[in-house]
Amino acid sequence: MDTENPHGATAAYALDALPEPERAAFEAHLETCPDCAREVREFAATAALLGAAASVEPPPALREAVLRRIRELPAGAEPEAGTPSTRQTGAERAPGTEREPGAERSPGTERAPGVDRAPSSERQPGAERQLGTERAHIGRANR
Amino acid sequence: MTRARTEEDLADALGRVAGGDEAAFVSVYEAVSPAVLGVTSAVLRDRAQAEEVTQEVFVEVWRTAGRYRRERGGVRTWVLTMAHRRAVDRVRSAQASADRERRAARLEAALPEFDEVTEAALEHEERARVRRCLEGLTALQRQSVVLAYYGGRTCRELSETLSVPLGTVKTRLRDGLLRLRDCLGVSG
Repeated sequence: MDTENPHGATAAYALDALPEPERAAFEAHLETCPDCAREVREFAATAALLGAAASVEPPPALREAVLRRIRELPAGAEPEAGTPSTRQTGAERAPGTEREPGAERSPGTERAPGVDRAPSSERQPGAERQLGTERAHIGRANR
Repeated sequence: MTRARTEEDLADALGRVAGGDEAAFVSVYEAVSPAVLGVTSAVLRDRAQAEEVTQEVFVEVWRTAGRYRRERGGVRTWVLTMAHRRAVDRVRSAQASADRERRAARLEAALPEFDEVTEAALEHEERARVRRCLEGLTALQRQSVVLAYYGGRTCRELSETLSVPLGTVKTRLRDGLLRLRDCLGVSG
């Protein structure tokens, strides 16, 4: 890890080139570094263009397989740790709320537990442990 | 054709997906799945596994659509970040169980792969802009970015493959992405 300059890993992080535990350490740093978080968002968008450039046509069977799988699941059914009934469809997108750290941690948000800062009373440790990696990823993806 | 949807349309569609709208889900799938399969194919280098990961990604999109926030970036970025992370995590967990010699062999093969990857990934006209911007990087920046993104390599692997110090790899990646970001007109 680049201990002398924690800000220097934005690109490596956005390209998923940091293995654990550096990835988790950098995510912790991101929580306290708005400049890094902004740079990671820009780099994620840049990387997505590299991804789009690699596009290949998926076979129709793949779409059918995906549709079969989602029909077995309610949309948005991913249980939020400790707050299964507070999933919302629009309130959390009100402009101006998402960059407020307080709002992100309020009970009932869909924030990834692994991404939230440590003291967060509404979490259920078991569920969090199980879903942590995936959540951290999602939260970061949308950062 | 749903493929031509704007980012705003996609974000609206994803909002409907959160409410269980399957038609909206299909439109998001149509718009983003070629890129998802492209990324997972590049990283995993195995079509069956790439399709499997693509399925997992879209199941995740269905389940977690309500968490997307458009203020933080586009739908394509959200989904592709998810896809790339899943693909590299799968490669690395497979790699963890492989013996050191096989890992070394894979690393030696990395540089020739670089050319293959770029050729295969960037062959169509619509990709010309990305290609042109990649060509605007220094060779070391380009190799680092391409091997990390399309090849799913870690910084440490890049350091070994390219014979440069770890800190230099991180700097090259950042310099490369800054230049790409500006060339591609990405804004925060």
